[in-house]
Amino acid sequence: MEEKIMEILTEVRPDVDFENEKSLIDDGVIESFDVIQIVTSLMDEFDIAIDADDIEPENFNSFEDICKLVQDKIADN
Amino acid sequence: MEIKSLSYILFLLVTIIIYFASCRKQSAQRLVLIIANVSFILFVSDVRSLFIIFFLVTLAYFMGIIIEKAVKEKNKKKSKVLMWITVIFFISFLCYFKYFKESFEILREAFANNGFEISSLLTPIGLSYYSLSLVAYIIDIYHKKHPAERNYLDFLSFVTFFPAIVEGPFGLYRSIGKQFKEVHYYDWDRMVSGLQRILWGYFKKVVIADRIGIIVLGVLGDENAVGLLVFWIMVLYSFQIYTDFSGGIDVIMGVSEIMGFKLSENFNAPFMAKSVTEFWQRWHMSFGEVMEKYIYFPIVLNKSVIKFSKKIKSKYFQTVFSATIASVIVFVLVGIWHGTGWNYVVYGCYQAFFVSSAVLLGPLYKKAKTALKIDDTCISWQIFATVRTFVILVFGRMLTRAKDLEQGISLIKRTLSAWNPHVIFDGTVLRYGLDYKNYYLVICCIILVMIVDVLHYRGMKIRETIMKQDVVFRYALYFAALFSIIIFGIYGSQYSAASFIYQGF
Repeated sequence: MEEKIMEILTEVRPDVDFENEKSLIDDGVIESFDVIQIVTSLMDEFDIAIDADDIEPENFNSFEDICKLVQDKIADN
Repeated sequence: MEIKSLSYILFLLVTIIIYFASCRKQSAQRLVLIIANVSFILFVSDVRSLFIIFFLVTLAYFMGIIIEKAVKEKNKKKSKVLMWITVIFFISFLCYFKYFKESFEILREAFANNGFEISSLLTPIGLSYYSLSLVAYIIDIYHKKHPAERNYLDFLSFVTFFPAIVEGPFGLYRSIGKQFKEVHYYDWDRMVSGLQRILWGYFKKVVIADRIGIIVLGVLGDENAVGLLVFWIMVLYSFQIYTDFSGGIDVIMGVSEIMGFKLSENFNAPFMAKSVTEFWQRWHMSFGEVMEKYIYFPIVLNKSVIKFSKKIKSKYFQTVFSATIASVIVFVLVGIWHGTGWNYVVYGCYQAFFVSSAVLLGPLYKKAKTALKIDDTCISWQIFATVRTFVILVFGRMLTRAKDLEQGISLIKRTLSAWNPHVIFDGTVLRYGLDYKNYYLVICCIILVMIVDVLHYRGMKIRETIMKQDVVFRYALYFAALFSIIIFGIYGSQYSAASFIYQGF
């Protein structure tokens, strides 16, 4: 799962170091449209529902945060 | 009581002294704050404004508790219905006061002609700001982002917080609510830092914005002014609205900082933006955050929108479709939040066009840059992108500066009707109310504002740097700023300067 998530992230923003960057949202590394691309890809790939209220910095600031969000959503299903 | 009148400064002095004198107990300090908030509302408006704010705060307070209870009981339907009823009520309330004033006036005149006198409709002070904060508060409780506030007085002091009630910044309860539960002690460093910001805010407002206002009024009032003269004046107007709005926010942030509150920042060197999208991430950021969180993302991730977008084959364009729909809606709403005329709707669409086309044509731009071997990190490209963005924004400003769409279009037509660059240099601009000393003072001040913005943009913390300098330099700078405000400030009658432009929204 983690590999697939990394693949999605690097496809959306090949220029960002997702492994080491820990403040993707807080430092403005990724923008709203990047988040939307990531979210829609994650929803399609893992067949999960991510709502607007899930779009919070703590869910998208790092690769680990994004993985945790996906795991939680899979568990909710 | 204008934010930069002597009475406001006196009000601040008295409030801050009593506020810190009461810091032994949170309840005493909170009471002082509430009294200050209520007095401020009464000074700037009247008892009807106060009644409206009390009514809305009380409603939000109880609805918050009721919705939270329904959420905890896992009664999804009930909590959703209650949340929507409350949100729709607040929005309708705002729209009624913001947009139906003219129709109310027509009705009032009709009644008056028939011998019935109705008092004119009030403009409740700060309604545009605090009603949206209350909407966000209710939605956040529904989404379990934070618990409902149980202490009515803490909640009241948050919503009515006097420094920010008139022109923002927007305060989300989830971000700043906690601060209203804490005791705030007097702190010398915070006091100096806050005063620095207040001085800089007043400088931007009274020395720059109000001075530019004179020449802008002069040129736009002259029907014979065409071509680059109008364009140049709109460039100056863009700086006027920036220094006016950000100056006001600096004063508000400075006062809040002295009192121990850290509100959301509203500006981050907006004229350094290299695209219209980036501009909106740097301009009126607290409003942008509200629009993004509560309108943009919910539309993009709305199930029906996603379902509809699935009809498009390309994965990228599926996302672009929903993002474009959301951008158009957000920017039209941003437009009509600022005013009711069609010019504001067109202004919103104009902004949405640039934001959406950047997303839509993003891959194409990338390919074109690669084919043309354009390095978008080089300084020349960055300057080009910044100037291009600024020019787009200047044309957009023509729509909001005008009183209606017709006047806005005529302003654009006047700009494009002649090529006359000489008017900027041959002294023509000096015929519109500012002599050459005042005019060049404006130019120097704009350069100063831009230097400060460039330094901020590069991550320099200017106020902290100033505080590290030796005492002579620091105080020389403070007194220079103070005397500049007193000597070069443009003051209206009774030393109460022109209102801040954004207070009107």
